Amino acid sequence: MSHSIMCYIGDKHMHELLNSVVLELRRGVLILGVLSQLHEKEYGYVLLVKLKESHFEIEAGTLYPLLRRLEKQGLLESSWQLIDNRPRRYYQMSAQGQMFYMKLKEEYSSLHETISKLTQGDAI
Amino acid sequence: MNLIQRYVQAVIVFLPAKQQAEVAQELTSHIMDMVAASQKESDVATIQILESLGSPRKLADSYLNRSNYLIGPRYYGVYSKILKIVLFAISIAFTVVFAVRIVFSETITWTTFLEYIATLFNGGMIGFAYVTFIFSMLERYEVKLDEDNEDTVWRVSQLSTDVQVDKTNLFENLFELVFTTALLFIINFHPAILSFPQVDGLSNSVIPLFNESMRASWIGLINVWLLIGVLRAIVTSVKQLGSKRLLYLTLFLDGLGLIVFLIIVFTQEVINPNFAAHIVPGNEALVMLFQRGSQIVVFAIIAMSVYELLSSGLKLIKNKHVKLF
Repeated sequence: MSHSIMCYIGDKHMHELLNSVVLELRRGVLILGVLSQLHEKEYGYVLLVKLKESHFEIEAGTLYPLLRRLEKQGLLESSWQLIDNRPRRYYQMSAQGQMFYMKLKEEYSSLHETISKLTQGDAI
Repeated sequence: MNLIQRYVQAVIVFLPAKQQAEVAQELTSHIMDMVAASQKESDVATIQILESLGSPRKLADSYLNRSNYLIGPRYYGVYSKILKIVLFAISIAFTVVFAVRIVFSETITWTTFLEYIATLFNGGMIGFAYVTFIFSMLERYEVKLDEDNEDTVWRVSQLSTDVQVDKTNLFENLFELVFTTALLFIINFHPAILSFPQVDGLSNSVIPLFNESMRASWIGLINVWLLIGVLRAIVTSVKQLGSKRLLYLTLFLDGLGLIVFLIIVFTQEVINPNFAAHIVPGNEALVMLFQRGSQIVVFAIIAMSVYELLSSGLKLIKNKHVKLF
């Protein structure tokens, strides 16, 4: 096997590994990102657009099931409204969700601080 | 039905009935919002949006919030270990039966060997099916093993004793599984192996160990008793990994096995009453010795069953501090 093919396989493997780790990392902060935009009532499509505008990429197929799950867990409340003859489900953080969000934000800040200290001396 | 409706229908078909209407309404509304916001032609935009949402099955799985595992990562390690033990025990048991058949059979043909291979394959498949079924039920109903319990504090003191006990138990379970499976197979398919060959002049005959005239009456109970034994050996192997719920199941199986055995002893005549008399005709002392020997074996089985029952009960009392769920 030639050297260039070996390098290609190595790069491909590294790329796949990085993708999967980044995906795991993003999955962990997904709830934090979504909750941060639900202090006020919002429906799925607008939420998706807002998150995209903030460069927080999330698929619709991930967002909608997540919203339902968070509602089931008592962190969100929802209500249906008819806007322009189209039924829309609006989500908002519940009181419990607000508390949860504050604690999660603290945890994230603490983790971010720790990782920043750990990686501070790294050459980029 | 338009494309959006067909897509939404393909998603909600996998969801529970109570979720279907709401998910359909929300998903339709979202797709229509996206189509309206798109700069492209309606049909082209719809196709692109639906494709970006991905396969309806995958989207439905995200709503269900659980992975569709037959046996998930939580159980796979234990499942794999038990499956290996069961398949090993079945192959040993069937090989022992095959060896005994070869020793007692006058004619050995290729058919005998092919029959052995076929039986081994069938037995393996049945064992595989049973173990997979049991673990798929554990997965389906999310039964927790004690090691999953976050409230249970693990102590270093558990380490040395557990490892030693595991090795002994593993051997005992394997032996129990091999012996019971072989007996189950012999009694049902080759009872002639346990009969005594007799040469009477020019003709050869066999004296069956079992009471063949009453076979229909006792075979069902014997099979239930032996299957309880097989199940117990499998459950005990799982138990080594520390689930207290399985300890209760072992206790239940021990009790049930003892009850079934006592029913067999007191209501059925499984052993051929004339077995000894036919082997040693006229020798009253040997016939008496055989009958006494049979009674001792029955007594030993009862004593062993009671011992196992008490031992399982004691283990349960000793582990009382361990939370059940």
